[in-house]
Amino acid sequence: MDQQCDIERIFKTHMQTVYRVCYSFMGSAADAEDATQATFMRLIDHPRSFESEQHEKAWLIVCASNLCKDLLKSAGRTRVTAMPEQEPADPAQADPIDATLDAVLRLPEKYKDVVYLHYYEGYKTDEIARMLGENPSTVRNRLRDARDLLRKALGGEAR
Amino acid sequence: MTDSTEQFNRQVHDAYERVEMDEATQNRMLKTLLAAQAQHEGVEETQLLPKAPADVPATRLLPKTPAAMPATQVAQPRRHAASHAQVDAYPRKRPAWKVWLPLAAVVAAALIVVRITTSSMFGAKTDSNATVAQTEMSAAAESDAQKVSDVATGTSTSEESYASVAPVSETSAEEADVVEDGSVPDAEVIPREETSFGFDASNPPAATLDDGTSLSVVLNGTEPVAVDAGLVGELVGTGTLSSGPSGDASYSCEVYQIAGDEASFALVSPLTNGEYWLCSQA
Repeated sequence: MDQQCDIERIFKTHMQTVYRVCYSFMGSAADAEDATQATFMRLIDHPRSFESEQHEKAWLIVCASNLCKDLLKSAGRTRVTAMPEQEPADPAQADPIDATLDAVLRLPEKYKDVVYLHYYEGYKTDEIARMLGENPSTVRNRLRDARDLLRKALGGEAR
Repeated sequence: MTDSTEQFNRQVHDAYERVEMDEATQNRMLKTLLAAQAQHEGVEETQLLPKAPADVPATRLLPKTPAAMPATQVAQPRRHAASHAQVDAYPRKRPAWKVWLPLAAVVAAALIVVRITTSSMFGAKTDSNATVAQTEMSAAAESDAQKVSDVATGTSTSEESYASVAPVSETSAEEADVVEDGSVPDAEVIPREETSFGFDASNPPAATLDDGTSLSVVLNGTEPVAVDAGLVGELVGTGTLSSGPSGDASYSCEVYQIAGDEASFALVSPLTNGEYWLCSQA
């Protein structure tokens, strides 16, 4: 019963975080939901204890990120941008946040997790490097490249 | 951090903030997960779906990063989480060296074992070959007298076929002298023309080994040399030795590699009464 409550508690606590990670990779709500469910299913199939809520969150983020990468690799999917489905005729009238999300979703796969972890979750580059098992300089380079791509995509508005 | 950078950070942060799963999907997914967990544990589905504890504040269910905070405060250190994540995160791909190093070690060990095994096999074989050669040479030396006697009297059954082959007529007197002089252990002298190959410089012999190798030989001398077990080395083959321009006279022979001299070898035939011709390969 305790474990049952745990999965429910963990789901309710971190579900949106996992969903956002999956959405940034998969690009569509339906695929993101599938990936989110698969992430929690992994936790059910391989139950583990966490030292803290932050530990849970970090584990789920990395798990979701790796799962999405595997799904994208195996399916050879065509990335679909879900939002907005129809671009406005006048780009100037587009919601800048929607355009931003669209630009984020169009980022190459290797930038998505570092961008999410840094810009939304607020992790430092060293922390991200430890989470993902990467070199800190690799993370910094990716963030720099992602920033350049986003700024180009957003037309330099964010500068 | 500059204002533009803060604005950019905020913009990206807000973009993610808008991504949320709707409540209906959340409930459906939770139901599915609980059912899966129950199945995993063997619990009946009717016992699932406990109500959320009433005393848990709703604010604890969906913690969000405070949106009202400025961008500079959003980026909060997560040092503890990172260290835990590094310890117990989703299984990562094993580094290449952890995959290839054990494999390389296994392959290297296998190669070493094979090398040791083959070297011991060839070493034993080489030793056995040398032993066989020495044994055969000494046996040939020991039985020379008997063979000569048998051939001379015609009582030998094995050498009869050789004795019946027409010997080469060309024989140098010098060779005959050598035969008579004592390389034949037995006191009875066998005429060279009946026992020798009749080789001379104008009729270089040719040997064809049983394995199909052709061996054109150059006689190092016109006189046979007495068998010296210490000089003759490994048996490298047996075959047929032919002489004469048309090779009309042929004799079985054994070819021994001269110990310490890869360019020279000895042709030994029963007809040479234990003597051998010291030759070089043409």
